Amino acid sequence: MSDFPSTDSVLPPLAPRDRSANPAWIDPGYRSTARRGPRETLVAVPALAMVVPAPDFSDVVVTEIDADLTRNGRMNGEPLGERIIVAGRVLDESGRPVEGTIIELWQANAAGRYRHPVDDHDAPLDPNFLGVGRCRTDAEGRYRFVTIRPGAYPWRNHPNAWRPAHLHFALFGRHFADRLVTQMYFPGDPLLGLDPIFLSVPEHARDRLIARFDLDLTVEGYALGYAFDFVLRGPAATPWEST
Amino acid sequence: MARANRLGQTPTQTVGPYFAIGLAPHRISLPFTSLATEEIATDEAEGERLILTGQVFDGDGVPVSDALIEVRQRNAQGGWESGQGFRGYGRAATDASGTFSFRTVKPAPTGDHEAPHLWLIIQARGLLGPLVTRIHFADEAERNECDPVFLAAPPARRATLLAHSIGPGRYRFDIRLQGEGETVFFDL
Ligand SMILES: [Fe+2]
Repeated sequence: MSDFPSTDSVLPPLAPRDRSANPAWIDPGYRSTARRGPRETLVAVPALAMVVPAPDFSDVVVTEIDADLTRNGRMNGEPLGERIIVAGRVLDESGRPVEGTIIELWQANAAGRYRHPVDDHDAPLDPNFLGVGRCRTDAEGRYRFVTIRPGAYPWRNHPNAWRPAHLHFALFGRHFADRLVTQMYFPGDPLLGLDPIFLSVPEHARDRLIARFDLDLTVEGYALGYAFDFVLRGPAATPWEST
Repeated sequence: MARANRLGQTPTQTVGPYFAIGLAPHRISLPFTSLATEEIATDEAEGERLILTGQVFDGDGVPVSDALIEVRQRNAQGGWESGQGFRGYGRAATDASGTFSFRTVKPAPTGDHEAPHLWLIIQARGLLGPLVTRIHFADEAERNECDPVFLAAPPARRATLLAHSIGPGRYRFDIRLQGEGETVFFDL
């Protein structure tokens, strides 16, 4: 088969997803999963499927204002609501920083309304807030967003259902299959214990989705700071690590 | 299997119904540049041009109008490198009829007996994590029968991985999240 190029490079194989720390596909509390979650068992793959690289965004320019949601949607003033800073690191499960990876963020405004045609929640849009941001990690895997604390919002899952305040995040790391789309929550939110989406995560792993208030990230006279780290899968453990 | 000395992986959550704000702002005319679009390769890219379309269905056969499809593929030379109009990655959000569409070039087979294929990640409201599948070409039967990932799927379900020609340079690939003809999803 040498007439085909061999392109599989230096990317080490991806660690498996820890299914014990992730939601089941069908969750009795989260109604939409009933007809959308697959029922067949996921099919195991050969090793060559573990080295598919993440997309190459090296030519994408990410500016400081992309990561500042209080500035990137201004029309005629500042967005309303409580300004916050959300910052932390992207690590792989062996603790190594993931450098130069893009994090994408989207969220509701302070009133709990999304700037999306499908959102019909009776709460005001903010002309100065888009609710989208983007950031690239530095050499230590660090990222930092400035934004507005999102409001809770109702949804139709069950009677009087409200989503706790949350930020939506998406990131890749080095491997395509290391795709992580998740939601970050705020400490002490009374809605957490009532939210089927948060509760879909096995109990032992739920605190991984809750940010920590951090006085060091808090900027005096400006904004409260919340610390939140992402842990991707990264390279599989080498044999001497796994014994 | 050992998880000693490993940090706990961040669990996944659903993309929810409003992911276009962050992941496909061009689809809702939001003034923020999209990181990627339905164009995996532009007209400048080398290779056989393809338009890949399909629909996403739920377990009742109802179109899923809020699914996010991400595609990763090799170029026409079989490499992962981007450049000269080739991005190797695309993103689409389904419309009201559950339809998605990508413009690309056909990926080359590889030295590891892999048939031409594209990797897909599907997410949606009601999906609590990413589903990973692969598109193979129905008219590459000989290569498919040697492909280790294609062969990893149970024989009776392999047809769910096949895109079918629907005209010159056009292929169709439907995704069934659940139920009869459920698409093969890989443990990735
Ligand atoms: Fe949300």
